[in-house]
Amino acid sequence: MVEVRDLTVSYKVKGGTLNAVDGVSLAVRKGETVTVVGESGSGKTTLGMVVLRLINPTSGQVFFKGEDITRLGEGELKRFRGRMQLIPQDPYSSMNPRLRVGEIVSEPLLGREDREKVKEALNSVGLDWAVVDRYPHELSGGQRQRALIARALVSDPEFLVLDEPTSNLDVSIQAQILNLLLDLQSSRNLTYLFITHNMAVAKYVSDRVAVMYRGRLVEIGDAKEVMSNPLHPYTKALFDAVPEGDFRAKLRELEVRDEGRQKGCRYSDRCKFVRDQCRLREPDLLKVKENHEVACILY
Amino acid sequence: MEYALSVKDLRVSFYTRRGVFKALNGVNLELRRGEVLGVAGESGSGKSTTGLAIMGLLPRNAKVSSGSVLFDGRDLLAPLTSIRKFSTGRNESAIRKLHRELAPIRGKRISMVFQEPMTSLNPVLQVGYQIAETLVIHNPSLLASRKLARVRATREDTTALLKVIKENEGSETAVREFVESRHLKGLEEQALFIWRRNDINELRKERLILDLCCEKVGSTTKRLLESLEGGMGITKAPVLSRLLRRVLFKEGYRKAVEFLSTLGVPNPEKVVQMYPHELSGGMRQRIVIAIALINNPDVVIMDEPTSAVDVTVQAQILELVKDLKRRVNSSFIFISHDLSVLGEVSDRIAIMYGGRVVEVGPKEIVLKAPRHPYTTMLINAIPTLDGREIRGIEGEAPDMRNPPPGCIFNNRCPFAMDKCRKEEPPSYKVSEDHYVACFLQGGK
Repeated sequence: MVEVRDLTVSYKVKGGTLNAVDGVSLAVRKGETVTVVGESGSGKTTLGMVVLRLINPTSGQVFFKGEDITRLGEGELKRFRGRMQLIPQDPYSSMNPRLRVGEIVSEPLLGREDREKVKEALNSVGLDWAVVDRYPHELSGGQRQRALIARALVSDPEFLVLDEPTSNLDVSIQAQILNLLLDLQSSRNLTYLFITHNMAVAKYVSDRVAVMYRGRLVEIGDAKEVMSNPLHPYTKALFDAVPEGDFRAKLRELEVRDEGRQKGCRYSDRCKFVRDQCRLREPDLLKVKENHEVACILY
Repeated sequence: MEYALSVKDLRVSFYTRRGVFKALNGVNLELRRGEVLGVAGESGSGKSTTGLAIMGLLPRNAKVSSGSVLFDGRDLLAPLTSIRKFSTGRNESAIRKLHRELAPIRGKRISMVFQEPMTSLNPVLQVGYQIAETLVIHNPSLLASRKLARVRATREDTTALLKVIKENEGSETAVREFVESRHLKGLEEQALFIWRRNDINELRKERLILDLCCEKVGSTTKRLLESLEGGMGITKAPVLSRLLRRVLFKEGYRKAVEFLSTLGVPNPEKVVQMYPHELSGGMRQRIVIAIALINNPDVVIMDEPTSAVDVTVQAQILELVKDLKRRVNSSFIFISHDLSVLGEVSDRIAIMYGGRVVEVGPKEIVLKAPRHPYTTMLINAIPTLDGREIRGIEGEAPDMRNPPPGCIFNNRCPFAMDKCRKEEPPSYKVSEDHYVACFLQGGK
């Protein structure tokens, strides 16, 4: 469905360049949910933006349904825009406060005010038709997130990038939205690239999980496999940091990260299994099992 | 049971142009000495308002229609509840009076850690200054005696002190007795801090402890410090007060370095010289926690201290809180929307909904065997790593301008009965220490 190859996005910063995304290759198959997890600054949001070509990659390629869209201009991209959509993180700042909900939701239709389509989209996310005349500030957080989902659905997309769609919501509402997203996926046969920092949410929604650390994919595989048998030390640390449902304390401190770039594996300065070889060369993703790859010298 | 703090039937409403928001509708909470009380709830449930009300940090449009916050035998909110006819003007002057009354308590006996570490630190002041400030304001005599102790101590004193420390292997009481016998109060914590460091070797430690003596100060400064130690406030005389403040802040930085290192901040000497923007989120949160704790307060209110940070940093902060709970004798109110975070740190958990405490009890019971329908549904809505199915709570939080009559949860509750729509359920005791405000638990 969507594929990126050797994707790099770099920004010029004081004293050099920063590779927000560094040589990432990832394929999302039709109808599945791939979740990208990582801390803030790991490049997961940037990756989502590049896949939609909202940010241009420095190098590498993006394919949508087999077509290379890396070098397409804005005009040509219009053909694809409706078919891939973004559900942004912050429902409060992602809507124009001066537009009514009806106008916001019909935006992707590019001027063709199609009442039926809007109605259907609102219906499918469980919103009442009455909201079309309201302004965003009159809606609650959950309703706003639903309206954003409706906006993404109105152009009948096949592929959605969901950038932390529930991290600003209360848990009871978060559960509603997650279940709604899962229902929509099966009824409309959607493909999701789901971005989150919450491991439990990742577990709930994903078919496959990709773990990012400082711009690089360090582990990718079937959700069940990665969750039950995490291999990369960073993935393990992420799981250990989750406050457990059964409240047996399993927290382990991660040392404060050193921002300097070093040679070799970028996790080596925080890794507790670090060896000499780790500092020499950056490890590549290695297949350890069918559907499970990890970039660590230990395997 | 003796309480560190108790909130009784607190009702607060906000008067806005769009109506009167009834934020707190009879909140009852007791904080026991030395415990961590977790307060959970969704946005709008009143958990933050409760925290702010305890600190007296309410805006002028907040009407405290009834209730009290009892701390140390007095009602902190008395100036607000005594207003007879509410108007923002009258409330404003009452709040000003409240601020004056609470100033000696805030930051010293009750302190607060806010959610956003970037906005709760002053961006133009070094973090060391901000920590020292709370000391200079609330505890200048401690700083004075620390400084004076080093002035008064002779080499012979510190040599003897070192011997005492070595013989008793850093036992606090022995050192304190020795220091008091020589009238060198304030020296003990400095010496013990050096003794407990583990980044330097024994020889260097001994040198540093021996060097805690024979400091020179000007005669004026010495006189000023002595009067401060004797219980006088900081002088208001223009030149002298500045001189004194400079000495105190310098001492405050020293103490800040010691305190930060106990909070696990690496390189505290450098960190105190830094500005908030130079620090990472987790480090900033540690600074805020240091400011809240440095005066050894009785009560610390933490309002979502981990909501703005990454999971890995969150894990560190939670570890820190658990560690503090063991080490200091403060009581904590830990406010969070995340029940799994509360499960990590709390002794007891109170669940809030619609401005009321609907369930409160020991954490194991509240989380494993909740009795209020809302608590049950809330727990079922949390995604966990074991991958069970989650279910959202149908409907939205009630409009707090017109809360439904009766039980505030009745419009979302699957078990709502007629009675629930008419009467407000009282708090039933369902087992030892476990209280639930729901009619389903009644009659037991």
